[in-house]
Amino acid sequence: MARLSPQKVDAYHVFIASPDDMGQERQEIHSFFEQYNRTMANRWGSASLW
Amino acid sequence: MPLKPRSVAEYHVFLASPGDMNQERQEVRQFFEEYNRHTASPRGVRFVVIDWENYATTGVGRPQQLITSQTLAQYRDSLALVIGLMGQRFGSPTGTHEAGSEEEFEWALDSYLRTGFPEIKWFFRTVKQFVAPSADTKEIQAALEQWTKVQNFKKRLQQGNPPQGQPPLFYKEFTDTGHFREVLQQDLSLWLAAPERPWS
Repeated sequence: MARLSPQKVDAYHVFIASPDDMGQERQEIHSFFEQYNRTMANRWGSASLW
Repeated sequence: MPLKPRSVAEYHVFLASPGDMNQERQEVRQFFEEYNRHTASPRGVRFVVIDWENYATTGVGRPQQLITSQTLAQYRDSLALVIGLMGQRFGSPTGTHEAGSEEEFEWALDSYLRTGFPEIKWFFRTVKQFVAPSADTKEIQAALEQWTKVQNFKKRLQQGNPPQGQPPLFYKEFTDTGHFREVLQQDLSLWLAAPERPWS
């Protein structure tokens, strides 16, 4: 019987430095990496976390 | 000193629902985003929510077949969970099934019966009063047909299909998005933390 097997990915981390009036721009960075992970990084077995 | 990535074990969660459950779909994504940050990530585990909007591409073929092959089938080895959500709508016919969510449920159940995964969790929004979409009688009739299909599907999950080897499914109901958040949180927190899970 097949077993549930996680995909092994290399995770790199990105830190966002900003004062608290940059909420929208911080969200843009989250959105960028979310999409990048989904479309590009995922295919190479890597992911960017923040 | 070279930059070194961390090794992460990535499991996948598929979201199945018709188009009237966007808020609840967002709740599922937020739950896993927080769970990854606070609980899974320190243990080297991550859950990725996959859905047709973000993971399926257009092309030649039956649309639901393309969606299934690019989501459920693509991630079948690491697909830990399928979450189904339904309210008053059932969805549109796919060519082989009454709705995409139904076809996705069949795929998941078939895989579960053969391999033991993915786990399947289904949540229904309680419809205390049928809400007509407009005053147009055709639209009312179409909405009523959709709601009838949801009720039939719910009955089917309750009863299963023992002659076909299909077990019943224990589902949960919720009243609104806030209640769904609570129900989801309680259910998934217990399930994810159970010692028999491979990531525990």
